[in-house]
Amino acid sequence: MKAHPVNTTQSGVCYFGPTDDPLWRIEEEGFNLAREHEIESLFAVSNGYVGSRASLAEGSPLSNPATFIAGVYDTHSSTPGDPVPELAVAPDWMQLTLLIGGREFRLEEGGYLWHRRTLDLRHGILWREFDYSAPNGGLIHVRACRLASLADRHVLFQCVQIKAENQVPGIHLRASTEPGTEHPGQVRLTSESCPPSDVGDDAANLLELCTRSTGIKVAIATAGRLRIDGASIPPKVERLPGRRIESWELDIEAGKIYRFDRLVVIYTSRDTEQPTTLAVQHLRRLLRVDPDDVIGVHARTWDERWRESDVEIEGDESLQRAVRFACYHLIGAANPEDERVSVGARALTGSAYKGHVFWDTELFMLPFYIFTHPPSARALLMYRYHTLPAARKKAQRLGYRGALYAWESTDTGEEVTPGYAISPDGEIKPILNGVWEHHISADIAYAVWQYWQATGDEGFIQRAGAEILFETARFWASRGLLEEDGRYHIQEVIGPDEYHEGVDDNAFTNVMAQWNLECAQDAARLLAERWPERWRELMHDLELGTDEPETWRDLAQRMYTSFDPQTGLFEQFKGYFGLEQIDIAEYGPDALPLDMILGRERTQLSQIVKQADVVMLLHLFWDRFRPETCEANFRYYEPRTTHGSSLSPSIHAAVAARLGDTDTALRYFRQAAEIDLANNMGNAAGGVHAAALGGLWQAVVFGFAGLRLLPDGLGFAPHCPPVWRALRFPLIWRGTRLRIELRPDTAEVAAVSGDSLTVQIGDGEPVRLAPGRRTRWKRGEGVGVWKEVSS
Amino acid sequence: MSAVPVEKNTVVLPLDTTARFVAVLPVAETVIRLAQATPCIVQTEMPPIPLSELKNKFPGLKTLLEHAIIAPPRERPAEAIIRAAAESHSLCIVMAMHEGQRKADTGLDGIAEEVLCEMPCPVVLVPPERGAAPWRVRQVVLPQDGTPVTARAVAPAIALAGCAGAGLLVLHVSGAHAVPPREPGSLTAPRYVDQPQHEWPAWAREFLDRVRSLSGEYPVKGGIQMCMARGEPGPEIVRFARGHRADLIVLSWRGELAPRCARTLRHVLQHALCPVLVLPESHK
Repeated sequence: MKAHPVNTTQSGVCYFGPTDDPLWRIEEEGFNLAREHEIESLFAVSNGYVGSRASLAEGSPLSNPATFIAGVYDTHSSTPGDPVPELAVAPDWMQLTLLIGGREFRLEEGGYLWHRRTLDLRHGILWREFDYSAPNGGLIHVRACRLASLADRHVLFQCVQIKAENQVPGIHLRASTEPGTEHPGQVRLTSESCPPSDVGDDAANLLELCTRSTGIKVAIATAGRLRIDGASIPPKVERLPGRRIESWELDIEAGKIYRFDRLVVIYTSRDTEQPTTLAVQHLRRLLRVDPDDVIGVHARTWDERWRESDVEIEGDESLQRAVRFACYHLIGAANPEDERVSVGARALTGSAYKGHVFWDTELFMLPFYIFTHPPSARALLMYRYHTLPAARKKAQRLGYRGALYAWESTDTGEEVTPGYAISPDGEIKPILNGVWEHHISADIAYAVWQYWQATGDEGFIQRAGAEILFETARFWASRGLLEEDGRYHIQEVIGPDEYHEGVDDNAFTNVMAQWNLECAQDAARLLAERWPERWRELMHDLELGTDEPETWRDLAQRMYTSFDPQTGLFEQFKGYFGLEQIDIAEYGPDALPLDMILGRERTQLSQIVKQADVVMLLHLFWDRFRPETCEANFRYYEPRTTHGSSLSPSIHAAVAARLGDTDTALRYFRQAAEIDLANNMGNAAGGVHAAALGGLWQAVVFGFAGLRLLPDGLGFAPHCPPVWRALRFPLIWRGTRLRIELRPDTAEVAAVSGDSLTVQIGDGEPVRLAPGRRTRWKRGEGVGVWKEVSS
Repeated sequence: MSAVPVEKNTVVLPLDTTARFVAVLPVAETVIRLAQATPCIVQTEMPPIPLSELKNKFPGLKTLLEHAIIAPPRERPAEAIIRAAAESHSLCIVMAMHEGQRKADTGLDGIAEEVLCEMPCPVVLVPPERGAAPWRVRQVVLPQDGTPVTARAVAPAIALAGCAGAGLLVLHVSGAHAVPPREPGSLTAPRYVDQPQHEWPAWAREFLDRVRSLSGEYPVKGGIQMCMARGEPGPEIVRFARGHRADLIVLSWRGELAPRCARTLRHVLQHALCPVLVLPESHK
């Protein structure tokens, strides 16, 4: 098919179609109805403000079209029990019906000669191409695209280009935007109870909807345009309550290009007091520009983001695509312009996990943003700052001081963890994470400090970061007990290994809390020395006692960490070593999660670990432990870990890589890469696993590249697998842009812009790297031996 | 069982004077009524017994025989049943699992096993042990291995449950050494359960969505529920069906009874207390 030119690159290459580079494409050939929900998740388009699943425009028996707007939560009033808020589903703006000779085109009814969907990762565009043999004998070529603009986050765009080999009479194209039907487990925006619009004639292009319980108004302005060889054809417009339908009836002539463009603009009362007016005005402005410009500016913005984010793995195409897929969804998940929302467990790609925010964001996804797009990281941390009041209330409600963040939260920060789970075997399991999984407060503190160390964002640490550190430290200072042994103990918690509930002295929780207490004391000293006025202000506002930072330091020193210097092992929690040992290898690798096979009670009485727990500590605090401690703990806990959580494989890949065990690292890395893409777990249907995607990036950068923060720069301990010819990625450190290239025996770091910094490779001599310069190292004999060879 | 063309609207009912027919008759009556089908009677005893005698022996037959088609008798009972079903494009065959000698590995007698192996259409196999009690379809157990082909195959059973106003219990059995199916689009128990409070409801919805959409979206008034059991599929299906007082177990089958094949089907047929509807996976 001859392409209608669309400029999707800054370099001026014009074409209307996805990139040809297979390393930037995720493809689905043909049509398998059973996979539709998964395809909808994997191929979703999103920009952090709004995300749309990749449902077929014409629908199918399994289609579940859904668009999610970050922060627009509602509560499903008909949910039995105690309903919790969830992301509300916005109307299906992508619906498009094509009738040919009175017969509706539907993939499940056949007639297509070939069919392909392609996610163009490079340009952030979902493409669909197929040839259709119409019942009346005509052959139609269709190419369509869809995007959520990264350049203008309120804008969604859809385009369909049709060309026929011969004349096809009786075409009816029908474009509608409508609320759709309620699906189980989804709450939808409704036009009921929305105040009437006051925007006059423009209302023809407008849908106004509201949430039922949270009082959020959403305005959606839409306009479709059909052009035949460039000439515009006006639609027939049908206005119905809560929806608008535009349709065209025509005969398709051979050789002509029929191009349908639909622009959609969304504003909510979260953004502005006048969402309707802004949506209408914004759409009006867009209608004055060429639709190709909407694609062009979006594609260029993606191009810019990739310059800051792209990870290149030379030597493994499958992993290359997987890492780009991860980065694609991470880029599309966060909105640096909105610091009142965070990224949910499935981002904006599906309704599973209800859009709830977990520790996933801070410990799994945030590092990607910190080192590639700090404004996004800042916005995500500011969400935690704005939700401090809810965290304070939760701590207070449970009898503690300071701030205890919700295990699951929405825009308000309140605890929204469901109270129980009913598994399909009928077992009702009380969910205690919201009551006992307290490490999330220290996880957030860790992320705050990591952001500060990596960016040097003084405004953030003064305005928000320090307060989070102080309030979380205060929580830990009230959470534990000084016992007779003179040590500070934390009882009755759930660690990352959620198979064991209500345990005492969970190593992960205690060490994180210890670090949180130390860090808050460091932050207090930092503020007192560098910004004494802000320090006094905070002391006053938070009613911080002058001795509190010293108390934090003291408690940190007394913290019981369960570390045994004799064995070099952390005991995961008190009594863990005495539990039943179960040989995981006896169970199949693709079996049910082991807790389902063994039953809850036996699992709790065993050493089976759900996910990286002590191993997660190694990942977060690599430099605090001796190499032999890291080795001993990984070798002890790795065979006991079932990876019953999608968060686990990537962290094991990262730690194994740092240990230099690249075979094990690659095995786990592939496992992590396959979580969504290999369709081997079935639950990508509810959305992509955003934390696993963040973990994949961390496995590359912290694992295989061995990134660590130095006081005045960055260190790397490269373990590039021999099967990879090269590993390349950019990083941002305190405003300095770096490009790193690692090969099995060489390393090269270039400072592209910014200030000079110290770079250390392995245990080699640190090098001062000036902007515009690059330095090369060669691996020497022995572990960690690297020698500078050129600069 | 479904909105099918008129020429297919027959149900084959093998008829003899043994005790097994007492158990089959109530099941056949219900199936024929729900499907609004015409009974196709196949006499499996040679020489055939006059119908008047049979009516006297089984009073329940009178109504059925009013509109029945009588298939020509043949030397071999299994052949007579198979040919009757094939020639009239029947919706299904309703017959007893056994009378007298049972095969050790299937629990079926020779006639039932031969019919099952040929299977020109779905077969409802009735355990004679159920006796003459009336049969109502209130609870249907629908084991699913998560493959699209299995989901597609059970469309007639979902239609039957819909007609009967029965509840549908979709059952997925998984265990320690379960091997995931290779068929693209298969959905088995999740490998990762990050947070059970979210994962299980989402998984159950997805499983049911796929079964429903692949099998034709028949409305099920009695409700449809996703269930999971741990262990070996055969024993778990039987245990689950007993525990839920199932009136019918529906199994789809690829049609292979060779040694080491159809372990689940063999076990269910040997131990089920209720009728088992066997659907060929290639059946349209």
